[in-house]
Amino acid sequence: MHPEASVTLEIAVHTMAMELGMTPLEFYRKNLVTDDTKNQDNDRAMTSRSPRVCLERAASYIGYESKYHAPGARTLSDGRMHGIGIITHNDRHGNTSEGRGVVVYMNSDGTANFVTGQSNNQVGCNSVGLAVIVAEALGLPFEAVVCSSYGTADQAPDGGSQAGSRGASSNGTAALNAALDIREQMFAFVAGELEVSADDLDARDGVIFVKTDPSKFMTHSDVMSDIDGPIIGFGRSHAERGAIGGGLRKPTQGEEVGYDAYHREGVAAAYEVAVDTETGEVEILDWIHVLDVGRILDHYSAEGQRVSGMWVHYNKTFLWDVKYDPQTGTELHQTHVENKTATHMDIPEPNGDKNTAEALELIDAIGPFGAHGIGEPSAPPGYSALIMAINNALGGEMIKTRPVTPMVILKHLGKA
Amino acid sequence: MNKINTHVNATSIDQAVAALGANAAVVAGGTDLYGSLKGMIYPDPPSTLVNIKTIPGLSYITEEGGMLKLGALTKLTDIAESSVVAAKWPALAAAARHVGTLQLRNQGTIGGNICQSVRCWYYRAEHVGFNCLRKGGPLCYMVPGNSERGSAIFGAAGCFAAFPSDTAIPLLALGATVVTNSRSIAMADFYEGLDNVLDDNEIVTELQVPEPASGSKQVYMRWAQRKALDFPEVAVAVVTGSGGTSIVLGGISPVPVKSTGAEDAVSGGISESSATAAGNAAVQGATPLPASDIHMGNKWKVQITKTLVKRALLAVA
Repeated sequence: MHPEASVTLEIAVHTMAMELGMTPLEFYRKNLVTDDTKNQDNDRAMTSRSPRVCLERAASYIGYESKYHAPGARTLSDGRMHGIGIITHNDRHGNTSEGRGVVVYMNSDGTANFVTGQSNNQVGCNSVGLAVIVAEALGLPFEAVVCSSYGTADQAPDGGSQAGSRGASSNGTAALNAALDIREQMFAFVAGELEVSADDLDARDGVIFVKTDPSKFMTHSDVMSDIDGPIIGFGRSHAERGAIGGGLRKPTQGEEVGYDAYHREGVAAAYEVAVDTETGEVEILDWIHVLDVGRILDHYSAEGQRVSGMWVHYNKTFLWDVKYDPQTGTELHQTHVENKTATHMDIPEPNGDKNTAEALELIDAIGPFGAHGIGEPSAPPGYSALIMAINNALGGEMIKTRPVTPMVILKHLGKA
Repeated sequence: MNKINTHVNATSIDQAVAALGANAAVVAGGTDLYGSLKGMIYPDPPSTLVNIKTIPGLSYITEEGGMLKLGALTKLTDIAESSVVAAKWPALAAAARHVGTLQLRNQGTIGGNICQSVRCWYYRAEHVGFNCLRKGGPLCYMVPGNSERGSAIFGAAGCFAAFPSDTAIPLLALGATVVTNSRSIAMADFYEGLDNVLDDNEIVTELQVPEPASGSKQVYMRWAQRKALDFPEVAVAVVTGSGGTSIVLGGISPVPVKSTGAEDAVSGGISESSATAAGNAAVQGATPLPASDIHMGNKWKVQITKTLVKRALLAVA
């Protein structure tokens, strides 16, 4: 769900909760589907595990149950109003698209190259994310796998839309399937050379070995020296190896991956704020942002995505706005002085035991090795939670406009 | 970008003055002027730029006989970090510290900061999008237009653009004097109508700031939407002394305002009630611009101004 829609929904949720005499947390707990709930259309299980786990972690961290109060009911010792907000939802971004492709080439020295039509736009989604998938499936060290070409339709298979949320699950699935194609070819060759069944083999650190007797092995380099002809793997983001339409990826390489349910990314966020009713300024006292990322493929990128979500929360809540001249329609904020984005001095970034962004690896049922996209989901819940925290501080009729600038708050208070 | 026909790297004040004229502009740090030229905001842009950074000896911070002297080319960073300034003129140091970003403060000068143009988004609209009153046009577009930011609640000569300088506010409160190549001008007389009173062939060379009286307290506060890279929507400097309390406001009119009403309100001393009264007095007679369906107007500045005046006074009480 996109941020603006999320805020609109949460205004409705919070209104319902208040009408029912419940806290928003109680409302969520009562209404989130349970683990035995099934999709009435296809009878597949719909787990509530991910949103629930994220919600409970956010509530616990921020101390929601002890700090919640009726809207506008708590004044801090310095005269500012205290507010707290919490949001969770099950984000449906990051679904798996059909028909994306990846091609993996084994090189004569036992290393691998691959090509994808996906741009490398998410801080290394190809050079790290897809490379990790290929390396893991082939049993090669990470450094032995290189994305040699990407994003060009002349040389690479279709990479789908160049957007963040579907890359890991769709192109990642294609990469995994391409690598498994190679794995099958190489295992078949090694099985013949070692006179064992391919099912008895495993691969790790550049070596294909017999599981019951690792002293019997061939390196990937050995295979490429001895085999007659090239080894190329083709993978698509669908079907036969178990993405959408083909059931769950369970088991994969002898391990069960994923829960017997369909969900994308559960996310939750909580904010605690102090609102200065004389200036309309909001200080963020603490925040938490919890994302079920499925499986982390790249810690650096996952960390960046979690923390950068907070920047979106802040900017959308307080700054990003479009200003027009009412008579001519001319856009007035023509530079970054007027069209404001927060600076590092504005953002309360993670700092010791305050302000935190956490990733939970709850394992996606469909994505490669349990991973799924985290492109958009980091934005909506925190944006909503921050606005709801401000509303909790102020009381009265809920502020529904965005951004919630100090000017808007002063107007809400009858001071502007 | 506007075409510049002549660029003069002046090596002396006299050479710079000789190169100036009605269609020339002085460049020091350039952080204001270059943005204006790039945006092509002027219907009649300067064709000659006179670079005064090449004039030696105009960047210094000295204290002589109880007088702080700042060369016009002194960088804002140097003022913000100066132990001399911090010791006796902390409000000025604070104001310098708030300007723009570190990069801008490393480039921008004190002379330029007090002479910068307003940040009104109609005045700054690219390609002379709005030929406003300041450019010889028929009206101030803030009045019928979107006045939510960068606007004044006290208009002057029909203009509602807000004065954007940080450092001018404490300099005026501290009783500074502007020295140019031809005269000395008290800060109280430096701004008039919509702008400063510099002639076309006049260049600021020095700022002189008298030492505050013993026991004097001073503070500078400002309100902006961001903590950096933002001009003050409201700014206030308060300096106390044996002769009374000086209260100067920025961001609420086209030039700085010395609020005598607010000063009178605390003439008997600063307390919670007198500070509140001073805040109310500071906005007495304000004519905030109205809201419309798509913008908030600027009545919110009245509230911010009252609050900042009160808080600044209580900070020095």
